[in-house]
Amino acid sequence: MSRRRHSIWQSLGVVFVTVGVVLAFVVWAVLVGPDIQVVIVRAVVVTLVIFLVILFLRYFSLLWFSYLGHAERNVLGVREIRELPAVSIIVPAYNEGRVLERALTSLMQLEYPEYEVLVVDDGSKDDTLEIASQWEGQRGAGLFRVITKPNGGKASALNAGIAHSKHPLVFCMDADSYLDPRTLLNAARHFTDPAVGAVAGNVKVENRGSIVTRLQALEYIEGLNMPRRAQGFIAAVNIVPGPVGLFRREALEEIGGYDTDTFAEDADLTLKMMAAGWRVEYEDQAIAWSEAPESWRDLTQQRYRWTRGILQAIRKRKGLFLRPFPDFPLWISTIQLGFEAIVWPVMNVFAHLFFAIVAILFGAGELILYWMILLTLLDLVAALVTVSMEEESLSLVPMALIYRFVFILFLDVVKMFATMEELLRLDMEWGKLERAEASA
Amino acid sequence: MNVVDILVSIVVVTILVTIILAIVTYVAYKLRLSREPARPDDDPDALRYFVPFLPGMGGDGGEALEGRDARPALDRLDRDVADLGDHASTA
Repeated sequence: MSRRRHSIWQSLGVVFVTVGVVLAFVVWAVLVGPDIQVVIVRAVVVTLVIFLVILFLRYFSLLWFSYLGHAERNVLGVREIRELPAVSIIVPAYNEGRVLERALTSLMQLEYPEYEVLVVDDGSKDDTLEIASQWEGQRGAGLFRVITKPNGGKASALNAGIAHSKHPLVFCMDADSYLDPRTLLNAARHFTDPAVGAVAGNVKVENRGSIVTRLQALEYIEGLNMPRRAQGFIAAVNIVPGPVGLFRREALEEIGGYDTDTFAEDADLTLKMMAAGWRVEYEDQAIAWSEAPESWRDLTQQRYRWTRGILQAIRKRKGLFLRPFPDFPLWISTIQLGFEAIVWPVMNVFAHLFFAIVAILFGAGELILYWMILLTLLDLVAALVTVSMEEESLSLVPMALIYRFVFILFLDVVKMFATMEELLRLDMEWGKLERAEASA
Repeated sequence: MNVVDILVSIVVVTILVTIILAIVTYVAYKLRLSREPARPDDDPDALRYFVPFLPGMGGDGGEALEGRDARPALDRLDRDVADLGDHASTA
């Protein structure tokens, strides 16, 4: 049996064992005596309270710090910058022929005085190199160049681009994304502070034609950008996203660029940068539009890779969890990353499953219903606040009704299995999502 | 059956169906991986992340070629890499 098939059967084994354990618990709960069943119901109540406390603390702290970050920008205003440093934009591309043109068109329209664009063809087998080659030359304020290399993965493509670039700021993006014209301008202002090593931008979902993509659009606003805005308030953003990240070249060179040993090179680089003492800030007006997976299976593939990649990055820097000082914001940010990646998905899945089973078997449904209604109201309020802060479409707010109990629960099941596989060190591979044609 | 019972039923069914669908989707994703044809570089000993370094090349594990002439040179490079086989090493 090939190594790949062996690891896939191992993965399926993890699923079946987990499901088996849960079913065994259900059978035991049914067959056990009434005295034990009373204990189980009490355990449900205690678990519910603990889960609620953690949930509320998490939600309100994120919302509060996110609001502070938003208010700081809108009340104090943006930092003025006298001279905008030139920027090198790196666009790694592997078989991105369908979407590359759109990305490069957006780069040509950037409102920035001087920049270069390096498209790094990572050994594509389609027409990526041919399309990119047609863009070479000076286009407005941007100088477009193309380099090609044997396939080596995204991190090595980014490193190759950085090595061939020349400007003091380096912008890394994805070939399937496109930028707002003022993205560079808004992000570059943060670098007036010499301690800032990187600025994370705001990733938005471009394709919103189905329920799964609209849910992702809300998730990016409420689940990804809102925490980043909160982390940005303490300059400890724990992931500079792949589609939109602006870096100080000096910081990149100091830490040795991207490592090539994880599947989440963006998270890995950010942790490495923070561990070296650089501040990582967030700019919600540095916008990149990205294509979200359009099927539940592609979404599973993406989140599986994200989860395992983040865990690989965390594993490399376990020591950060044990050092709250001298950099307390870094420690908080690291703890939050680990909590969101490992602890929370497992808690969420088993809490929901626990409640559903107990509601069916022991008639505690009314209690759980009121709890669900309370959480849904909380989700609606959070959606309204975060959508308003980003001046997004209010039509996304009603998606909050099924956000937690369908979408997040679905993702947390995937994350839970991905976590188990990573802890068991099962093999994995990158995979490639199907690309839709770029819209005009 | 009153309204509360109906809502409880909806909530419980939603939770269970979502979890089941997530498990099924995850299994389907894994099965799809197992059915994909093995790529030539699915060699257990193949370098998964690093670009093979060839003598005489510079930087980041492989020469980065610029310009429109890159494709013919890349084809030559692919043939050279294939010829080297076990003698390739990381940068």
